[in-house]
Amino acid sequence: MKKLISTLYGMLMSAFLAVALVPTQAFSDETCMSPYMAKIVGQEDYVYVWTLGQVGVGDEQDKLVTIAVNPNSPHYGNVIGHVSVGGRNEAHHSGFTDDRHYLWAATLDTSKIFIFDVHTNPNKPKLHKVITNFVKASGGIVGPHTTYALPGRMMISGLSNNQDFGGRTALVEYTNDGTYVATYHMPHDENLYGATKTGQIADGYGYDVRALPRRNVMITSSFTGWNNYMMNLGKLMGDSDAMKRFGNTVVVWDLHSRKPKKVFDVPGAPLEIRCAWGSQNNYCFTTTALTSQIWLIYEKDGEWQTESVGTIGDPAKIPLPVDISITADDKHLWVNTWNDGMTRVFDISDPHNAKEVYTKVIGDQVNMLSQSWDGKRVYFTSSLLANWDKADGPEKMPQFFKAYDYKDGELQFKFAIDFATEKLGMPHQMRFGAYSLYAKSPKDGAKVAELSK
Amino acid sequence: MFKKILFICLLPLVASAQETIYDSFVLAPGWTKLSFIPPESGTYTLPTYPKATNGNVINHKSEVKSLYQLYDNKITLLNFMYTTCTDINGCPLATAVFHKIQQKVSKDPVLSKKIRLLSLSFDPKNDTPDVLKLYATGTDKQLVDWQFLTSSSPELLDPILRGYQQRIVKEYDENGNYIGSISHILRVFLIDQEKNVRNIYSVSFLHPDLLINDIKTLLDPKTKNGTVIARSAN
Amino acid sequence: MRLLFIILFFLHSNHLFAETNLSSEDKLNQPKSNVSKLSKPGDDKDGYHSKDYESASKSLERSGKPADLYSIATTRQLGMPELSFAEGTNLTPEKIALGRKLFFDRRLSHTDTISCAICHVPEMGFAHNELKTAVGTEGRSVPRNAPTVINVAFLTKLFHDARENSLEDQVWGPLLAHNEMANPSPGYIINKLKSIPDYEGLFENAYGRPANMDNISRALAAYQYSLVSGNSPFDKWYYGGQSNAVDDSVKRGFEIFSGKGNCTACHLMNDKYALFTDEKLHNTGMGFATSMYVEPPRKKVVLAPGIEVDVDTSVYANDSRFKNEIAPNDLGLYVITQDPNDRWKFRTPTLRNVELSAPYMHNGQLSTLKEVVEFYNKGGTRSVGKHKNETISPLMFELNLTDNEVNDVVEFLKALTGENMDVLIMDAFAVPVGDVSLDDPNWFHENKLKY
Repeated sequence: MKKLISTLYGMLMSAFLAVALVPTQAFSDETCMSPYMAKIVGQEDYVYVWTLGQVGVGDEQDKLVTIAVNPNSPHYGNVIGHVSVGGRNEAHHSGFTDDRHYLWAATLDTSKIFIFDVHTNPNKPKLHKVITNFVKASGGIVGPHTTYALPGRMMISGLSNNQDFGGRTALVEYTNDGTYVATYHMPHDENLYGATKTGQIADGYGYDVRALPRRNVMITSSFTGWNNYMMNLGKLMGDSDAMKRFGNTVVVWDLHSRKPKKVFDVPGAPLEIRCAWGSQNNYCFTTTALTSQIWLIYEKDGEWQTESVGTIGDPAKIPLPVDISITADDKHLWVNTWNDGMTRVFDISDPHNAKEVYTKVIGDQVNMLSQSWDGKRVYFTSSLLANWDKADGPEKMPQFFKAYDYKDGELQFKFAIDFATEKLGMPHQMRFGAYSLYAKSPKDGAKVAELSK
Repeated sequence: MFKKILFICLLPLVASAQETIYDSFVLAPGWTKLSFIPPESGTYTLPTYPKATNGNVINHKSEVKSLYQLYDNKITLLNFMYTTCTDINGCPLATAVFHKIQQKVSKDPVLSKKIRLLSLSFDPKNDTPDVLKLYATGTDKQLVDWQFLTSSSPELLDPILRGYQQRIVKEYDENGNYIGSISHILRVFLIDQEKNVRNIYSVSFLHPDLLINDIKTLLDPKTKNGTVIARSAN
Repeated sequence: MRLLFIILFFLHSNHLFAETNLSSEDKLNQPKSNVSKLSKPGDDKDGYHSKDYESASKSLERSGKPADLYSIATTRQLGMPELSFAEGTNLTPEKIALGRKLFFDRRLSHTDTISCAICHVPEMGFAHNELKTAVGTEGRSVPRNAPTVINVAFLTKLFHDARENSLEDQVWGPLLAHNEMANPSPGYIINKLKSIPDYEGLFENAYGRPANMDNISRALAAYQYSLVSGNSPFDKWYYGGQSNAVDDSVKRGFEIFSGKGNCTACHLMNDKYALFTDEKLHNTGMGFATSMYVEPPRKKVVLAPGIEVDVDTSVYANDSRFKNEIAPNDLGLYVITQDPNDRWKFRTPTLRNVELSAPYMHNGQLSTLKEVVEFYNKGGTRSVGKHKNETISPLMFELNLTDNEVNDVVEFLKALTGENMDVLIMDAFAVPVGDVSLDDPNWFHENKLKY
């Protein structure tokens, strides 16, 4: 019996080696998605843009805008539709379920989560469900931010709470069909929930959440509460009391038990977290919005730690690094700086020493960026927060979506969409859609997205 | 037993013909030694997800059984699969992990009686009871019960797949011919004795050690059915 | 010279260190007020400017304890006048309970986000310690600081510009203001409350009829009638004759407050009770200074603990969206009367519980009580650059208080914290926050508002 089993595994292992030697397929996707997520094969067909409603613009309410981005489509470069959802809810981030059938679009003001069916008709997302009772269900967590896919469920990071609209908050878990499961409070001084406070701060603030399943690790960052992210930026800069209410921590969690393990001081509002893809690269990056630093969160000798590994622009000018994106080969990190409208590429082949290697002005208040898995296409949008966005600017297009190709270390402009003249609003986060995910053919005459082999 | 080994072994040899959902370069953690120390069983709470969906299935003896009958006050691991699946990090992974669990848990006579493994095919056309017979554990009472199940019709199967949100997409070539593969996301469900789903595993952390850890957590006296009993402060 | 500087710096930083080097555990357990131990923001940021800052964040999972609010509303406390209720009030525990539920209900705003308690936060003096000026629906700017609602039941001038005269009338201001709770109409609120299942029968039970404009305002007023807090250490000493209720610095501070400091000219008191307000409006120069404010080209901003950056303000101050929000114009009483003599006049606030409700002044521009006393010590703001504050109150003049005297006045002000504040806060913690449930009216629910 035992012999049989060992023979079995011997055979299995040799079979694996054979498979592993087969050249890998090229995958194409945003590089910031959950590793649990189904991935697009080939060119993406659509970009879904979670867009903030704007007073005086079109129907003034939040909407999911669909843009055709497959050069084979006759609608390439155009908005092909949108779904309006009622209200200005401070639309912000969105994320697919692990089966990529639904897009969860979260909102920071009213804390509603809009769930869109993107698989039935990838070119025409449909509002499937609205979670209206997130705050009540979660026990008072306000401002659902990241909707991060775990198997069969979503991990949602909150930004605030219903007691003081400050930054103390929690992670909230839902099933894929929108049922509340559990609330995991961010560790704070009164209760670290078993975590070690490695520095001076355990503020209990939240922002992004990412997982490195191969290391059983979940990582969260920290921004600020409702009062600050909702208020006018000028008012905020004039309020020294409010300016103290920014997050200064990154927390490393045990993914499986959902327990916080270590709280790190990362001063100045660490926002987006992006983890490396390489199977030996046990590290993630984050950037601090206020203090303009790139931080590395890494494992060394079995212990997680943090280190500042680079400076972004001139911190005195508060360039405000916003969205970041890691390339699939873990060699480069894209960083958008909102205040100067620049995108910057850092060489992170030595993760402990990030070096800026490329910059380009994309447009005033550039915020989000999404790149394809192969790194050949990069998309940008302009809006940060409804009351932080500028009114003036050197450009005539303050709210934009811009598409670029990235070749030989240069961005090549493809097309732009002016969200103001299109009467859409303020474009925020982008997610990719493709027919190939659902073994479907497009009905608009475009060729099925090619499988790259 | 031999037939089963054959099944598990042959599959990887034809793997990678279809598009895999996950990077085929990297073997799923479930194939190898767990690269981290899992949290100690009984020290953490397994969230309670909604009740597991019920529905009628048939076993390799063509007997109709309801899933609830099969859960039968046992801790159940349920996976969805089809026997011609070729993705090394797909159904064969789940089968191998179940096999390892069966071997490990069977050494513990108390634990082994409380556990049942179920593999339900979502390809009833090909996976008939006769086919399933090749995989059924047989009557070895020393081993944890592992049953292979299928459905008598798509109409009966669909609500079950919907209930577990196990989405499947049959794959076709450019001429619209079914190429024999069914794209799906690997899902394994941990179901407690009260028929609640308590964990959902995908390829990234389907590992026998983790699953056994979770099963032990459900049974640990430090927890009430997998929920850590709150100790009063101080 | 350089050596001296280094030594000075060293001493200075040591001093800072001594001030702030409390472990977070100590900081967590150290109350800000001797009287109200619960009065402290959940994420206290004291000492944030220093690199030695240690956080002291509290749990969101807190428990409360309901208080006998009816008894508080109907029992006179030491130092307080008799409370007079609006005509036809006939206070009952049911009315107070209903008002209390409304006060903590975020569904009372148009977007289901803002309750009264979101700006009047119980553990922040029923005011707001974390914002100089308030933020309303969809983040709209309110140019004024949220005042405390403790002891408002005694006032006849409400809002910083005195635009309302009774609690019952005042209620509709925030409920309907576009930049506060933003409800489109009174009818909308009534309609909504009638459609929320957990209000079923409550208005009928308390007022004998369904929700209407009258009983909504009366219910909210009823809760505020119970938010009375006297019997402070000062009251025990001054009105109760307990000489050891306060220490000498408080007594000296009171001496200055009522004498050399001329504070009682506006912050009135008599031999039976003290509300510490004349309920009149004065130009102290605070509003004037804000109107004349120009953002400097560079400004030191604390971006994180111990990280202060000399910020180039052009990155935000030139944009039309932001430049008027840095120090928003507010002409005070003039907005109501249009009388140029009323420019920059604001209501004298009560000083009771003042240690709990930082930051101070109608626009929260002063962060500490010491800054406030120093502001009056220099006679307010008489001019900014070439601009003269022509209508400054004649009661404003330089006081020539010494630093010790300023500190004594601050000690006196800190002795005005009411004895039952923690009772009121624990009671507030026991109220479930009103958040949208699946049974509530919403366009996506079966339960839709009927129009």
